Amino acid sequence: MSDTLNDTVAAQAVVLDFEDLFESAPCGYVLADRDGRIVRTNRTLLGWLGHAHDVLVGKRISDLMPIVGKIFYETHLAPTLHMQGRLNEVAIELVRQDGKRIPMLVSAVANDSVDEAQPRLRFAMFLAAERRGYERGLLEARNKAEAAVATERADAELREQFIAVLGHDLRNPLASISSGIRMLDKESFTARGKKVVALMAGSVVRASGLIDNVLDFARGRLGGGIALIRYTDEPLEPVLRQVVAELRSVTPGREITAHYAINEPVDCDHIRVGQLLSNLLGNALTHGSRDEPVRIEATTTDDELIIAVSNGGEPIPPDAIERLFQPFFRGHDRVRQGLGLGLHIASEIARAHDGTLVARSDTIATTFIFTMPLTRPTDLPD
Amino acid sequence: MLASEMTHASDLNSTIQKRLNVHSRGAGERTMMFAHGFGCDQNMWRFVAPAFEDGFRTVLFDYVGAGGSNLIAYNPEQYASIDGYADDVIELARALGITGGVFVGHSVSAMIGLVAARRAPELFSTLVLVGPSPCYIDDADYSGGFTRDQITELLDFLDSNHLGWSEAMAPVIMGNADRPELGEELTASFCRTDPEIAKQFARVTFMSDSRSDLGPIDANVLILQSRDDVIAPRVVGEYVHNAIPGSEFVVLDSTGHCPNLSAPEATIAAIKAFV
Amino acid sequence: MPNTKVIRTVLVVEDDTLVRMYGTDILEDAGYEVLEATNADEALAILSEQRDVHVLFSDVDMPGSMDGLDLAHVVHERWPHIHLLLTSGHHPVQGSDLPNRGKFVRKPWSSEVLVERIRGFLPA
Repeated sequence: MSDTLNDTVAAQAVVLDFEDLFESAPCGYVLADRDGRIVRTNRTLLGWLGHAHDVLVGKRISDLMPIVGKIFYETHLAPTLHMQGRLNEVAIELVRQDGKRIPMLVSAVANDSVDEAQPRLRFAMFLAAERRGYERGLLEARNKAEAAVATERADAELREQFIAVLGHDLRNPLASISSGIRMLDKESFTARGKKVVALMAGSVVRASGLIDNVLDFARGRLGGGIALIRYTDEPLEPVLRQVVAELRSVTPGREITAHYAINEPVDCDHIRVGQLLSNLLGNALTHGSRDEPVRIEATTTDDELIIAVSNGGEPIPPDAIERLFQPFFRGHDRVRQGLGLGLHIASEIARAHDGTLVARSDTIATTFIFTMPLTRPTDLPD
Repeated sequence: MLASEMTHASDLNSTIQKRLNVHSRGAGERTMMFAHGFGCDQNMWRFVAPAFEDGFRTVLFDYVGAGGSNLIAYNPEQYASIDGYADDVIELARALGITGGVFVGHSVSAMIGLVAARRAPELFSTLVLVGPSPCYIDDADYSGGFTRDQITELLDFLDSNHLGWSEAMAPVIMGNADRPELGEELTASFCRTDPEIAKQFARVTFMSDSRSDLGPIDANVLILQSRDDVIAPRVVGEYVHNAIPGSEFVVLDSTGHCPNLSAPEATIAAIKAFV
Repeated sequence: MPNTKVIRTVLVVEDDTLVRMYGTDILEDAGYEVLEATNADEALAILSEQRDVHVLFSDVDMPGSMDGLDLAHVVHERWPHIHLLLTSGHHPVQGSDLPNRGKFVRKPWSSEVLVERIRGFLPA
């Protein structure tokens, strides 16, 4: 019984109605001669285009397309078919009888079979409106995202430039106030008056430090990095002494001991190294125990400059040590003053000098050590 | 003179040859340079160029941005006008030592060739213009074939339809002129072009008005007009013919914009009769 | 002809009043005679009165017809014997930009650094 069934099925499988398969295919078919003139289309395509069959035969295939499509066909598709013999997945539009455009996906072959009577060009066309809509949506989303990123970047740059300008401009009035305070310092005041002047000086020092750090940070973000101005014929020690003196004067009641053993000329940007020391010192004074002295050591040994600042007090937890030099890091325990930029800037200054800045902390002391080679790795002029 | 297929080794060394993916064959006293049009690359001459290899040194190249040219060499400032492309043609011709050669230009290359020949008349003594058009946009008293709106729509189409573009061509490659594995044989990778560059080239092609570059010229000019060409219709071919005194005008029995592909024998015959 | 006179008189050019007063104070305390100008034009006017000035100490950024760097060049052209010291908080000036081996001191300067610079102009 099953044999007979198989035979019947096998027999039926052989006889396909190709005419019907062609006419009612899920895609549109267009057959054309080698000049691109339509020989035959199938019912599916005619249904999509709303044309009667006899209207299409004899037309060029590009006649089914809007002008844009015609140009595209003549400049790209037709030549490709000539040279390559096939086209795959081309997105085009056909024009319906009522003038509406229908997006299509087209593949085609040029068949150079022996029988010249057979149409040479065979096009299969699929409706593609939804897919086209999907693709367009993706493109739009991407363009929007790119535009948003560009705007964000522009805004960020504007912000940073603003900060740079602001910091820059704030220096002048600060310099003015600073000069005034120094002059007032020589006048005779009551004890209270002297105290007021001292506090004002402290505020100016802090404000200057803030501006320096903010400016450096903004410049760094704009890609500038810390640019160094090296004066090799300048002694470094007076600059360091000056920094220490400044901070001493605004932190009465705190003990700061400093030891200098700088026996060679140091090729560096003195202002920057001074800024580094100032940041480290300020950090030590803010976070260190008030009962213990802050110690500074500045020495040159073995082709290195070493500046170390240590303070007493609670050790820095290990997970904080790792992040100390990141910008805006302020620690978790207490409310700290400052922007959290001081150590970051100091580490950038160290880096610009081909040096390092490391931190060690235990129950006895917290120490920051700046190390810098005295001879530059590549001895090129600035 | 041997009719051997020689690629002149010295031609490959300098930059312009690499930049434009130059292929040189054949041998002869004169050089015949083939320039492709918008939308394609040097492969479009595959049915025509070989027919001239035993009488001429044939030179084929891709404009920067098309085919196997060096895409990195593309800069929008230079290639913002026909003149920029003519610069490359002149530089290439000089690098190859061409004098009194034949320039065969298809579509926009016809105008590029005209401009180059005007600026450097010693390079080419014969110009073959295949499907030329000096201006595609209709004017008050000129019929280019298209309205400005239609050309704008074309540029938008190229702008927003990269998918259609790359689907029509093989996927975009970032131009690499060194493709030794391809050899001289053509593969399934014709007319590849970077979509951004193609858009610019389309703008240059379709929005340029080069009518002022027509006019008397020393070189011998042959215009080949495809009988049924939507892009460069007959009326435009005749306009070019009338604007160049002494030019010859031949209508080829072909359809479409690329008779060098759809009717190569007729194209070859017409050129042979002229050079 | 090398300058054999002892440095006595400094012309301070600075547009900010407090900063100028402070600089003047420091230099007077160190024993110099000080003349003051608020910009380049005033400075040139003072110099043209043929007052005996030994050092020009000028800010770089100033309002007026020229800045401190231009002023230094003009002064050097007309009175080549005058030593030049420039200062700025923003624009560090390389020694090579200044004629007559002029020097630069960055703001904010301390009294020690400023006096040391001026003393550095002692005759060779």
